[in-house]
Amino acid sequence: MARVRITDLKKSYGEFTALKNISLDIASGSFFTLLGPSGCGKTTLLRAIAGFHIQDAGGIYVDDTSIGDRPAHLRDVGMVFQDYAVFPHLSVEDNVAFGLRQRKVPAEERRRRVAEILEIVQLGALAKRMPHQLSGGQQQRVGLARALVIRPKVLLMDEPLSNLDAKLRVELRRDIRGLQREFGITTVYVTHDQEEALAISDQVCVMYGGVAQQVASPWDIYSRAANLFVATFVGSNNRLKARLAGGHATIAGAVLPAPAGLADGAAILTIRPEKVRLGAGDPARELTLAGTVRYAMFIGRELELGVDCGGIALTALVPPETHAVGLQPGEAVEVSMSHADFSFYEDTDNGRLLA
Amino acid sequence: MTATTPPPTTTPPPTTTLPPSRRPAIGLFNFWNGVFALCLAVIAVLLIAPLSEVFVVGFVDPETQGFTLGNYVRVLTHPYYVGALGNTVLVGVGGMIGACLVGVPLAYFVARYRVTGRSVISTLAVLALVSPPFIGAYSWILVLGNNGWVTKALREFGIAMPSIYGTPGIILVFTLKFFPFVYLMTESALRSINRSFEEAAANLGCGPLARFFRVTLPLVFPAVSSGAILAFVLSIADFGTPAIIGRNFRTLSTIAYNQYTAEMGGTPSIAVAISVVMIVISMAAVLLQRYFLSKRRYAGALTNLTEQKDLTGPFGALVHVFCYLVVVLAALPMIVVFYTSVLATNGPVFTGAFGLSSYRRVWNELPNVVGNSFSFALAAVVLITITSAFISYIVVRRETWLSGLLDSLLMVPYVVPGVVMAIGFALTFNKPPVDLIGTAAIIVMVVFIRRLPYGVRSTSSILRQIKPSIEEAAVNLGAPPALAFLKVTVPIMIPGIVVGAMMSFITAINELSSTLLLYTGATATMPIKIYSAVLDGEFGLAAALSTILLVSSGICVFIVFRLSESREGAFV
Repeated sequence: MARVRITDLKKSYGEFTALKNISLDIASGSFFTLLGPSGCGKTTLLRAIAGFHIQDAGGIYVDDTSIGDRPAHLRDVGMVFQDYAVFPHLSVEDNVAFGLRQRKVPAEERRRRVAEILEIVQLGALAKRMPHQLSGGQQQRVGLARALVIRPKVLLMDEPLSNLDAKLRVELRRDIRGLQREFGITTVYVTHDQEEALAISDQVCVMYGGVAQQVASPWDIYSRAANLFVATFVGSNNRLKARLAGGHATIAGAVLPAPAGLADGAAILTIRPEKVRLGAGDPARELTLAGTVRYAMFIGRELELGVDCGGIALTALVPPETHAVGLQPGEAVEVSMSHADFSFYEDTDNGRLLA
Repeated sequence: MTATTPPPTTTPPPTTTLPPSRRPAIGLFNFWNGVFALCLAVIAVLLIAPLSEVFVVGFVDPETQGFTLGNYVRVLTHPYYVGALGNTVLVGVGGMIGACLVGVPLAYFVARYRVTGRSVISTLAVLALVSPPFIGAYSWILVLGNNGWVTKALREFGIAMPSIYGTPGIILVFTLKFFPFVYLMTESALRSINRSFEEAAANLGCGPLARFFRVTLPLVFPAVSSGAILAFVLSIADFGTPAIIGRNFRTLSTIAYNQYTAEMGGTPSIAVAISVVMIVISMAAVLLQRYFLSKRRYAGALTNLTEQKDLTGPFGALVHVFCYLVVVLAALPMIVVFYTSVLATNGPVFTGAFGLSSYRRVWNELPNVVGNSFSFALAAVVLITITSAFISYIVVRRETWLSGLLDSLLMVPYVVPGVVMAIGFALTFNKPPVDLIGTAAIIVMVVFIRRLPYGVRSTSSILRQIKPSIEEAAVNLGAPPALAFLKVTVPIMIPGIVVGAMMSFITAINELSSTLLLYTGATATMPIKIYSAVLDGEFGLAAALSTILLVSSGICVFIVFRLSESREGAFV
């Protein structure tokens, strides 16, 4: 259990700035995820915590101990690697024992702890195996056991599931979260998979261009994205250009009330596809737009519908009922959206959330 | 921030609550910085210093000791030297073209058709590759020389053979010696071409021959040209072949050697000027090839590998004849050498019966020469192995401009002929405090620096296959960088290191062109003795020594085949 603090961390490679003044406060025992597209700086940040990249400026603290200028092998943070990094010349148990040997843990205790952790990650029967005899999922369990057995204060995970197939990914994800809760270990997790981030985390930090865009709970990230990047990167979203005037917003001729206190001018409104319904709505609470169907794609649980509302392209996820599934491109439809489901953003490159 | 408690581990934290700082984590890089500095120092002393010496002496007037361009003017204008320059380029280009004409078809047949006994073909090619070229030269004299078996046999029928001496012989020897480079490189490239390219060409209406010349050959051009350039550079640097089979045919390496021995005691300005010209030619060839390659980069996708076709009918027979003819001719010197070594001799004269008298002479007269060869080669290999493990780590894992520089410097020995390197060593280590002339150390060192790049190349290639995360995992678990390298990376590298060591051993024990300039009576090695025995007409003795060399090389090849996944691929 340890609180992790990052203060004003900077890192650049020549002209390229990988991290711009990152400051984070990660609560003890929490599962903290760095989410972002490739090149956003999330892996650089994780590797800076591990000590594999040395930051240009800024501090890294575990509890109140600065570890920012300790060599990597003295940081006492466990790490799980994307490509497993299981030592190919050592058996499963020797892999797991590696860190304990390094810490000169007595043989008796070492054996006990290795056996214990292998049981926990369900590899007890494979202790004597060599890595090449294991599947990818099993290798990553070795990686996890190896990092956990040294009882680090902080566990770092660098896209640990990205090399596994979809089914295994969901299964191992559940196991990782379970183990993290059981051990109560502060975990920093890197992923580019937003579903994974939402599913597994206490807190998510969305990164882009070396900047932490928003740090919040998964629900807040999804429902109250701090800016347009977060709004469109996490989950899909409809973006609508609007004009604000006199407490109202106008979209393609239709008007809806705007939250109080917003200045007049251009704005971007977002609404999630699952909040867009087929058919006209109650004019008092809902905005109704008329348009034509661009495509209707049945994807199982839902029907994805592309609608062109006078030049505005909207995506809707609607229940796959008979009349909806039968829609053909070119058919006229009406779609409605509740006023309360809109978010308002500045009309700039990466506009901030206004309300 | 209140008082802090150290983490409950056995590794004590060095400090607590340090202010955030810009200081890089010391310790993380300490060990490797030390190794780096050491590697650079070794290269500075053994490579840069001798070559600078060579470069400087080329501008010294041997009479006045003043600065002059006269040496170069003389070498580049005097007919004697210009003739040698022309000859060198002639045999270099000849050897290169010959190697391609033999190597490319062989590679195509073996890669694309089910040739019976493929492993026999590749093994013979590798054995030809590892046998020293001067053995080829004198074996061909025994076969096709004025007194050769074939020449004599044909003379019985009244057929006069054209002379093997001079250009044809040299080009023949180079072709049969260096085609395996082209063959092995091209074959592996042909195997890794995506089948879809040729299928697409066929689909677009391209016939088999046009497909080969317009699609396949351009795709494997990088491999073909790498092999060809290697054949060219080694051909122009080779000393033993033109010295033995050239008669009065002068190349730059033979006149550099002669000039150096003639200038002995004085300033070897002319020898050095010739040396620099040789370096320039090799360098130009390598740069030219790199320039062409830089325009051709193909991303390889290994999804659809090509299939091998069955060989039937007259065409199949023809292909088999060609393949076996090539490798048998390439292996002929080895057979000749072995056969000659078991002929009984009386002094230099063959008695006509079989016997082990040649080996007896080696045993009685030259035990120290055999001992020297093995101990020098072994010493060089140990040094090469250790140094290349460290250097390849730096080159592969630490991408700074300095490690890039180290990588480029290691290209240099490839293009510096052995004779030139030897002259540099003789000029550099000839005065106190480091007077090494006539010592074993200078022989070991010259072999070390000449073969170091090959060792680095083989360890680098295995290191590139080891993911850096493996080592990071060890560091993350608490192992200091040096320990992580030794406990995790080195054990994984072992097979590659052993393969590299075997290859270094082969080249080290067969080294002639540099050691010939640096040896004294006490430090003579087998290749040197073979060379002088051939010049003295002691073919039996030369054959016995050559057989010992071939057998040791063969054992190394066997070990490489056992350890290396790609077998013959390890040799190029």
